[in-house]
Amino acid sequence: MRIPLMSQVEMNTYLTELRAGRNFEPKVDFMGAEIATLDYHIDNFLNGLLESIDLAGGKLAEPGKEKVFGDFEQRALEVCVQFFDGLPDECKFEPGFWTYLSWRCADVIAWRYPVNEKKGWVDNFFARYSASDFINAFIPRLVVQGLITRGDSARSFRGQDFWRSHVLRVKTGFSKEVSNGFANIAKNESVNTEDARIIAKKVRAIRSNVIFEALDKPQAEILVGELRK
Amino acid sequence: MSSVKTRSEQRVVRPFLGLENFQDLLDSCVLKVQRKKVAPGSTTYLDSSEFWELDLNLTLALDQSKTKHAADEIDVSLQDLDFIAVAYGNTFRQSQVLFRANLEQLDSARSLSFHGSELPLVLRDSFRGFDVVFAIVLNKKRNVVPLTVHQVGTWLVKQEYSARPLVDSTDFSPTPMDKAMKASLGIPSKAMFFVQDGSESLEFATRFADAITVWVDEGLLRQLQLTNGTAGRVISIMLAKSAVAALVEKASLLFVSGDVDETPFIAQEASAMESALGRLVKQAVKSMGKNTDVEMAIQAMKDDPQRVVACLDATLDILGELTRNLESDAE
Repeated sequence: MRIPLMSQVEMNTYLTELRAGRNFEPKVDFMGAEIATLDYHIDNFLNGLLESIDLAGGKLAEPGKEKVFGDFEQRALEVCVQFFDGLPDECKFEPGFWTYLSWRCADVIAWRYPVNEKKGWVDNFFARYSASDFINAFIPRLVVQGLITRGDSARSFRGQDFWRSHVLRVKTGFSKEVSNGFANIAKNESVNTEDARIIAKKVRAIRSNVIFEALDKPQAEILVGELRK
Repeated sequence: MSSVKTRSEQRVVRPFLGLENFQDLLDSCVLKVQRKKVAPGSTTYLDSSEFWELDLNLTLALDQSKTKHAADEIDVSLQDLDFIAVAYGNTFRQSQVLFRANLEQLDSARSLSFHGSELPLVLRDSFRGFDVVFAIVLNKKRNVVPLTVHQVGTWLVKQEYSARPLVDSTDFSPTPMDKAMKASLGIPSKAMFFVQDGSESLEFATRFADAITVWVDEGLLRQLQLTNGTAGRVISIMLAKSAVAALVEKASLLFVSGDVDETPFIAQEASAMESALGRLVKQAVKSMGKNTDVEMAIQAMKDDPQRVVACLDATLDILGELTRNLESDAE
């Protein structure tokens, strides 16, 4: 298979038709040279996600339930890591590739981000979709950095937004060692929202003077440990 | 390849004394991208194919006697200082130390080259681009004394450089909404335009499109894509104007509420200025004319956002982005 690409326009049309309950087969373009295993690799990824739903006790045909998402995500993390590691570099920075991939994953996404019956499509993943949304949702950056092994979920930082807002989406998230320090805190204790905010503020202040990448693992652990005081 | 030089760098106010002698130490280092010298603090816009044929070269020529003098002034030995070059890839938030050496051992000029098969993946980020930072950092912890550098990893002097893809065609594209979508957005079926909060806050988003979603009635959007006439153009401008107003309003709220710390913006730190919010602030400074600095622009956003909107309307590239998207969508 050559690298499959889908334009945002095709995607938007697909989503409009989907919401209207109509079928629409979006156009797929191909670029680059033939990559022998790509087809298989994508199928494998999809199967891995489907299997994760299964093992978490969910059913693809029914909208996903909050209580199984945690289990699903832990399993899916591993699938995502394997997928990303095995993905040819040429695909990684092609937005069109991620758009294509999310189209292939549409059923899984619809299960994981079901349409809220009361609110309609508004909170649905596809309601405001872009390739980077897909990357954010399915290829968590911590996973990409190889930080989180199975089970080291970030969930025990109460106010899960700490990760999104103060680690993953800002420069802090670039540093494997410092993010890892936070993952360690999260593994051992639960941090409430108030404390998480204070930590976030301190990190921001330190980050303007310190290059986190200059720290090795023990140094980063000390730094994060001191923030916790 | 085109190169845009940013405003002359302002000195960052930092809580340390005695670092003046470090400030010019890295000026002798030369960074070349595609064999052309690039200025510190600048951004280069590259075609996506250029990311794959990237040729990045850093010539390190530190004057050791000057470095020693600067270190002596703050009572630090050369052994405690490292030169470090770090690359940050934006799409997957990856960073990689490209080079690191102790200053005592760095006694002769070096040339570091990254190209071809030696090119790290972080530098191939043709989707959202990469940053390179090189700096002199403290490599060990020192005793805590007020106004002195003590935390390991503290930089004494640093330079930053960015590369971004030339056109991000997915940035800010209007999304068509039909009747069902309007119902779920809670707006009347005849509404033609709606700006919705995006998946990320302006402060953290790297693209405007992540901070707001611009919905346009699907029929209208189709018409716009088909019409090249003045009407289409005027409507596009109105859409852009509403989008700009929504962005400024959000920015204003962030600053007024104190949710966002203004300091890194006023100090023009790259990490702050790179965010969607930072870009908006930068654009506001530019559009408000001579003698406006970041602090004044932020104050204006807080006090009188509509005035900022009016200034931005005239200059912000959102109009260009929307127009380009409409044109490319019609193909």
